[in-house]
Amino acid sequence: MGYDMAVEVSALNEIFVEFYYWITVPLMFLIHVGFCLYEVSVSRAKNHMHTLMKNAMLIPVVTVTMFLFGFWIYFGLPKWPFGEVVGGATALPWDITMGSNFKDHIMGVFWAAFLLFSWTAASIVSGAVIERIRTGAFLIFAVLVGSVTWMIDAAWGWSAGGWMVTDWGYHDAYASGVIHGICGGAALGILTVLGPRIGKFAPDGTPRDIPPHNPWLAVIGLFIIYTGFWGFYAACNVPIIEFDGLWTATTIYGTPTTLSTITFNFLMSLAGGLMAGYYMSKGDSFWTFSGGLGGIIAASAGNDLYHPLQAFLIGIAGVWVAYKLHYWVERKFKIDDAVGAVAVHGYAGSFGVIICGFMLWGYPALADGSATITPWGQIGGAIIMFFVLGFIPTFIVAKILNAMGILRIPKEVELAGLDYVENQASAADGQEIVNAELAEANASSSL
Amino acid sequence: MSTGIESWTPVKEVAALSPFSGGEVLLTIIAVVLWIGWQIWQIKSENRTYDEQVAKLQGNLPKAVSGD
Repeated sequence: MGYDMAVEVSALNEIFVEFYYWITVPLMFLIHVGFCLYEVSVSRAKNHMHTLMKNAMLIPVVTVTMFLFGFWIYFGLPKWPFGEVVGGATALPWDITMGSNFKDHIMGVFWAAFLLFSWTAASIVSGAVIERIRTGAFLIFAVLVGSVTWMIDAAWGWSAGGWMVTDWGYHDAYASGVIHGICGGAALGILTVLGPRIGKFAPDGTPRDIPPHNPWLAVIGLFIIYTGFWGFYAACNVPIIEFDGLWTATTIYGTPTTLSTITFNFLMSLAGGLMAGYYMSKGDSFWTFSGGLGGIIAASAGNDLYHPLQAFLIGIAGVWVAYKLHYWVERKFKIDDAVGAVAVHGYAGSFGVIICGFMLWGYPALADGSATITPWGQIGGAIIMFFVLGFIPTFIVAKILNAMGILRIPKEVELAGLDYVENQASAADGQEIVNAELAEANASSSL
Repeated sequence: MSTGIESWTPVKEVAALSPFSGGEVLLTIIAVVLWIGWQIWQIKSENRTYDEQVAKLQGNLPKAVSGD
């Protein structure tokens, strides 16, 4: 058998790409670890285990539904509803690509990368609604956001064939709107119906602070999310591909970037966000670390192309907008967003999508130059992400679940704490053991 | 008797690696039923838990809130 250089290079590239995406998956697992840590730490001691289990159980329901239909949406609906459903059986659960087979080596890895984004999407919503939503209701929202609405927005705006990209020149390289904008909007839609935690607002409407149970563990959780975010950024790129005679990385749109660029910009937007969060909150640890996340999210739409100092400034501006809007919305509409998820993800993300339209105005949105990035394309995109696919679907479903009486936990349970029964049982078990030990000690000493 | 593959050579002719290839639609139906069934069971179970909890808290609520 003769040596064929082209075949060797092609095989090596394929193996590298498979491994590259595969390694992003365990990195992105850390995002979920971080979310669980920070959500539990923000909740009060009486709600810890319920908060943890609510977030953890989104993993199986989103995973199964992403396998059953979520991933198909990405391949099937890039032109829908203005064009035909495409893709045929690709990514349907009985398609050969969605199983263990020797003809396709990478579909499962791509699926996992998208799936981890789906967990993140549902987890963003999870934090905002803690301490009063029923787990069953939340898991319905997890499927809605994690396996349906975000997959529709990815098909429309995060694919070279998506109508928002081809018709509007929508650009969102690292998902400011595609993940964060939609999830912030989705969280706000639920919160509007769900209402605040008991005691959050004084009778005159003044918001009260409900302090985190464990502030330092909450920020460690955010630190871990930063770490996992690297995997997210890496997974948004095609790592190496021939582009106009040059080997380079590209975005999901097929437009060129470099790993150097995104590394610069990830860190510089993180720095800007941290500084802004610290400044705005006067050194509050939770808002400082949330600011770091918000900074990255604000710059993410254009972090494939920005100069590092532009990413830094956009990170600062995005966090300023998110912080101001958070408290304005809280006071004006009595919205109790327990972890600031609507602000950090929704407002910073939407800001990031819009500012990208001005910063990258006139840049090609696709490799062949058939679409161009514009402010109006981005503004339209931000509205679709936050309101059309984010706020409206969860608001409607929340209304339905509320009417069925399965949205919010009973008032008595909220007051006593979601873990009340388990804590009582645990205390009783503990006391029984102490009594048994005392009896044994008394028997031994009388010998 | 074989549930799928009887030989690894020639490997280029191997497609599905899993046993009982061709039964994927049936597996999908089972998975859909299990998923929906689990979500319904979870909601019912959670409702029962809250009903029991509310009953236990009757007359007890101030003590429960104060942590006594």
